[in-house]
Amino acid sequence: MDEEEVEMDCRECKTYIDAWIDRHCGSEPGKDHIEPFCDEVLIHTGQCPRCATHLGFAQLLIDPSSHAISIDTDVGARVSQSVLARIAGEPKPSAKMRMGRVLLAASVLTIMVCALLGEQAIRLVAPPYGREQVRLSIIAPDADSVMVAGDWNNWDSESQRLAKTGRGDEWSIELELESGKEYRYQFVIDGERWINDPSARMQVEDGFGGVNSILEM
Amino acid sequence: MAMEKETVGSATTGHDDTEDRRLVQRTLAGDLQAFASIVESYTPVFRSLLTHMHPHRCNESIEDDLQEIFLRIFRALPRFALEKSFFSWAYTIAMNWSRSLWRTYGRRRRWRTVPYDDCMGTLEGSDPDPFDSVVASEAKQMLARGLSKLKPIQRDVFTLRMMEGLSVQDTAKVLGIPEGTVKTHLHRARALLRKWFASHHWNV
Repeated sequence: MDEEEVEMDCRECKTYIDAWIDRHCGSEPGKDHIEPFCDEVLIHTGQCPRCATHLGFAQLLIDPSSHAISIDTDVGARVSQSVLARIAGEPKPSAKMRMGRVLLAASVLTIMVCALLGEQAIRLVAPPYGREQVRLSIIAPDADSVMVAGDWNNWDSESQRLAKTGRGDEWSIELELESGKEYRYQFVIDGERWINDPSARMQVEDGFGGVNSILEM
Repeated sequence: MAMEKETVGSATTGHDDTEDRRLVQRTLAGDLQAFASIVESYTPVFRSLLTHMHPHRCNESIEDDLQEIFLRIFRALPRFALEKSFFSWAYTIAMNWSRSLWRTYGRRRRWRTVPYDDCMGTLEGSDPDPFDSVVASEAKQMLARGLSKLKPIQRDVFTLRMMEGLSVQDTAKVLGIPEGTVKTHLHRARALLRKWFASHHWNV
């Protein structure tokens, strides 16, 4: 660079990067062209860690290729070996199991139809030894989806969906859980809002500003 | 043994639906080697997802996670509708597992600084210059901290579109939301991340 040329300072660099983000904020990842940074910015960020972090953050925000990571190619073989070893002891999935699933679903549907409805956590009928069935419900006006996440499903907020009962805004789900255990859980409204069960008999703070409901089996 | 490395970035969606379907059918017929092929083919994709969504998790934990994800996929295979995209279906299972980790650990484990050596390990091969490595690591940590402040759906969209390189269509299928909503969430996520960065890096 010419010695007489005035180098960019932090304020100018920040202004340039902010304007760069402005121009690309609506870009489609992987489709739209991404402008390279000018030499002055690259020279400045090569000497200034703070501005360099800003530039790096801007790239992460806009450019998908900046997220590329290295993965050793042995991982696939290692994981594959471990998975095969673990499933060796499991029943193999087959098309015949589809019929079993259908029958199971029909049984669950029958139980749902026959179940008595009332307060939350109503115990249902004929569970296997050591397990009990329980019904959870919640009134959720305007909800498009309600899920339940708790200790029994590793707090997976996508695996257990409540169904509308047809009585106003009530949603419910029947679960089969281990007897004698205590479970903590929350409902997830529209995939975003985590709330406790207002009708649960016991509630406990989760230590992070939220409240877990308690289900005693 | 020297380990080869491959770069996983924006080209993670290059799976062949026809080939995937063939492998699923062979697995359902009892051919476990076919499932091994699925595992090896999808490991880089899910490994990348877990690394991006859980940067604090060590390699061993992530390999354990991968085993759990593939076991779930194996157990659920009889429910897979062969006319649908295996990629989207399997990816949804991986996303669900990833979300459960957020739920289990994300709120309990506050953000911690990643040791310098860990950063170097993560970035090995990508930024050989120490200055670049540290700066890249700092930017990635800032992004991870910012992502943890977003709504789950915004975080998921940003991760899938920007970090995993999924198309709008695949992202919509995996998350079960309309394509237009994907675009809205990405735009919103970028704006919020930018605002968060400005207030934490520049104290604006």
